[in-house]
Amino acid sequence: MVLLPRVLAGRLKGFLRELALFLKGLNQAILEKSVEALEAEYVELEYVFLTILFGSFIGVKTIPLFASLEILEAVRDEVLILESRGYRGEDVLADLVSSLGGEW
Amino acid sequence: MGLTELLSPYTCCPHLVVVIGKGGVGKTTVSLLMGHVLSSVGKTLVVSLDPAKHLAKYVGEEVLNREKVLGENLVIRQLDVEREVSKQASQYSDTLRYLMPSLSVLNLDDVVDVVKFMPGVEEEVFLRVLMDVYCNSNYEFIVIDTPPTGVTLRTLYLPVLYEAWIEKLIKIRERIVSLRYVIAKTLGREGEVRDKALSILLGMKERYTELMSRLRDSSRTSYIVVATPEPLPVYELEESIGFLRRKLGVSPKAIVLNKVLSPEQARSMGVEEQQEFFISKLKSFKTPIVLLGYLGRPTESFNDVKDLEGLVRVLK
Amino acid sequence: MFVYPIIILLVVLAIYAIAYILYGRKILEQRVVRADASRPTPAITKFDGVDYVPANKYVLYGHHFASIAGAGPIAGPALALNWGWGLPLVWVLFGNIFIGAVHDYLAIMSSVRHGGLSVMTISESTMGRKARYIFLAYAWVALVLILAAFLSICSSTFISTPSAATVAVFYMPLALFFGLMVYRVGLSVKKATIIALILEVILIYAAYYLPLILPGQDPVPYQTWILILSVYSFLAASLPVWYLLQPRDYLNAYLLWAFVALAVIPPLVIPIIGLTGPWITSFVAKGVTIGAVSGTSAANADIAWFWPTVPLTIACGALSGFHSLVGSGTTSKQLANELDALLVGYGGMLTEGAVSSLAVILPAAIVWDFSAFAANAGLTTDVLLKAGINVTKTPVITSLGAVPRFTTSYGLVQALVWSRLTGGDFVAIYKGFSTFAAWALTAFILTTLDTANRLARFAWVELFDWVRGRSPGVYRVITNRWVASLIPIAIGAIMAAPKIPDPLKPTETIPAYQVIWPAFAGTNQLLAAIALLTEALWVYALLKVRGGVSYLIMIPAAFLWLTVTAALFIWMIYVVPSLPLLYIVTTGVLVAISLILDIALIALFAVSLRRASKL
Repeated sequence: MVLLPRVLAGRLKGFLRELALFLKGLNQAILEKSVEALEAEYVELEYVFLTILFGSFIGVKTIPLFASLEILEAVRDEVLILESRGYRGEDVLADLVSSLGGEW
Repeated sequence: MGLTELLSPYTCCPHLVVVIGKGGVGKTTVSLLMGHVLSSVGKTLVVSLDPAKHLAKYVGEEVLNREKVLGENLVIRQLDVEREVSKQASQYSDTLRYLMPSLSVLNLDDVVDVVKFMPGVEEEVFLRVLMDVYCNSNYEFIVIDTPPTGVTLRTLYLPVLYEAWIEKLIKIRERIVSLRYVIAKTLGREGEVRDKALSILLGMKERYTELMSRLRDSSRTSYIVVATPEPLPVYELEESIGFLRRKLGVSPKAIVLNKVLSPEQARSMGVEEQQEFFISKLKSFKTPIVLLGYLGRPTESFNDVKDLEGLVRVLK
Repeated sequence: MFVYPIIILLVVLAIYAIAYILYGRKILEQRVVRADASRPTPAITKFDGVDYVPANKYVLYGHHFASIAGAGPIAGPALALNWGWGLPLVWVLFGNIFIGAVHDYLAIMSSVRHGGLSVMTISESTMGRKARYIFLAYAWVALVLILAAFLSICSSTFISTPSAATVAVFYMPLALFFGLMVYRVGLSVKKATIIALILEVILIYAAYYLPLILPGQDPVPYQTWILILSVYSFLAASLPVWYLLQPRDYLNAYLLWAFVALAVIPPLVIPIIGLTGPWITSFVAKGVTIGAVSGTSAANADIAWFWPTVPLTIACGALSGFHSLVGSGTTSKQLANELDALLVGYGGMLTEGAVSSLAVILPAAIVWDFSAFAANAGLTTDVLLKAGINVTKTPVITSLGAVPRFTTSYGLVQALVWSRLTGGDFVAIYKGFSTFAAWALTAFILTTLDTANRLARFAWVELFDWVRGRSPGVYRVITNRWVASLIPIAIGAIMAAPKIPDPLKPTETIPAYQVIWPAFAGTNQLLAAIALLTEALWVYALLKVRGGVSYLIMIPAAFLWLTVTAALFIWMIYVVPSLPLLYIVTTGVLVAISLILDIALIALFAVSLRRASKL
């Protein structure tokens, strides 16, 4: 019986902590939402850039191969984007619906 | 003599003399002749980029990738095209291998050696040579004996193509970098303004812009187009001059017509009319024409070239 | 009766909480999907720092909710009030719990198990390539109808509450100013936000004194607004996504949360005030509820049976197909842990239902009968008259159009709360809050207008990708970006523009959205139906959940399909013939196409189900 208030207090503290995290999370979400469309554009541009670079490797004549090779080293880490975009393929609609802003 | 005056105005150093022409019209001969003439004015280097590697024949020894002194102020050199191509290609396949490390584990490294056969490696090599050559201030004149016309013109046009592409890529990359910066700033992270890829691109742009301006600067570069008074060589000459004017905006400083027969020789071979026809055709280009008389025998040595000096006639 | 606001609040919260734990956690999470905290999500396995990034579950919840909550959950329930306030509430509660939130949750989970790919791709892999085209077609039709409906709603709102238009006009420069502060001046986002929000509040307050009307006190003509908004939609969708659109969306998010937070307050401050509205007017409402128009026959006829036609009114409040796209878009790619999905997907949708209940339905229930409300609130009808409500002309909430129902009830309830709390002038506070409500609604719509245009352009091009192989010339014409962008907005504007005479009130007009809304809602629900059927197939065929638990998904999916199909058939048969020719040709044809595809869809589903049951 004596423990009950303590347990309750503990639960309450836990709940309030979660609530605080929840509100912080919401604020963060709003912040991130503000750059969503910019991020979408950024990734698409990266994809374009990398595709142009890789074009000559896959038979699509874009820039001269040797220009590609020079630049490729500098963007090695970003090639990951190419991979995930490649995996996504034509499955674009859902990503656009979520990131372009607009409430449904 | 007049040959040197044809090149003026020229600045130093070095001043490039690019000799263009169909295979077999005597490019190497003319290059050596120009080299000989110019060496009396200043230190001259004759470089042959021609994969046919005729230069060696004129001096009776190998001049691959080494400089041979031919006379006072005259040095010649033959570019080892295959070796350069191979060097360039392995540089590129090394990069590929670096980007795909698992290849060596699977013993698939050779796959990337295919780069050697990529179209455009030769042109790439020539372009690099041209860029390097402009920086070689040891010489006052550098005469370039070019590869066959097609390759040469493609090579000369490459920087123009590169410029367009690089400009586009720079635009895209600049936008990427600015977006990245804005996103980072907004989310409270540190924004990075420097970007390696962009620096590389800007460096490339500068290199090609500089090369283009030098190629177009008639005080830094002279173009000499060589032909013989025959249909195909003249046709190619016309194409080359058209290309130079349209795409590069430059005019050749001289047209050299090689193996011009004397009126008697021409008549006896039945080509007098043809020869006259071509000579007058070339006059329409409003460019100084240099007529090189036929030696009477194939030019096989440097002495033969020196003898040609006496058979030069300059038409203004 | 002992039904008071506080009771409603507690009931809504309790039902949702119980559903979350008993249905969401125990059944969906544990027995259907069998979520496993130790199974890595695509955010981790495919991490690329950009698309695939694990996010904190609260952040993700905020993200997801902000994307799904918009004008839909507001307009729909407002229209559904023709059935009383109880029946719509029942649908918002139970339709949400058993269908809507399930649909959202499963969309996220199935996408997570498919490497983050969207529901559309999953449909394709469970039902074949044709499912993808059906999906795209539904999406395109729904987007065109969104443009039409929202153009009309926005224009009507700007006319009934001109101060909202003033806010809209100054909002763009405000967003631009925010962008400048952060990106040019270099102010921290936090400081700039505070400044911008303060300015926005001042703007809303000032807008009341500067309503956007023509000189001479006349409102800007409806069709002028349609034109302006159409041009805006077309232009904004043709511009690259730049610094202007982002600040606008950012500030909108704060608007949304303020709107939601305010909605929760009334039941706490005035817990025991009589609800003046009928729990149920009739199970069968008049045809006008589902958009019937000319002649007295259809509009007055009792053809709007609550079941099955309720989805044609309450769409997003209970269920929306677009949520499956949002969920299987960025949300699934950012899920850090499979157990987070319940909060984000199921919880997010329940929150939206709570918003519909508390921000739209509850206030309407309170102020339904204006005179009775005045009595309950201790006000006189003169006060109401000063606030713009004429109790003799419009005695009940249902005498008003759908949007005014919302702004009036929200405004009145907030005014009551705050005038009691602060002692301020009721009428002034009412005007402030009804402006706020109208502005919130139009703010959501404005962002949707240009995004819907962009997406319609995209869906159109994807829909016709098979033409490229047959005729590249035709393909190039069809997929030209101006053509692809102009067609949806043109159709939308044409549908939204007409002023339709009200058959029940000879001197008045019906705003076009009341006619378009059932079509939009219907196709939106069809989009959800294809998603839910896909999920059911996924559960059955790929998760290999059989027996009783699988029925828990199959039955809602089948029920949804049956409900929406029946509703749309009723609409086609009873309502469409009564519509003006324009609508027969546009909405009628669009819905007819959707229904044909709908039959094809169920056939595909049946075939795939049979195939899966054999394995």
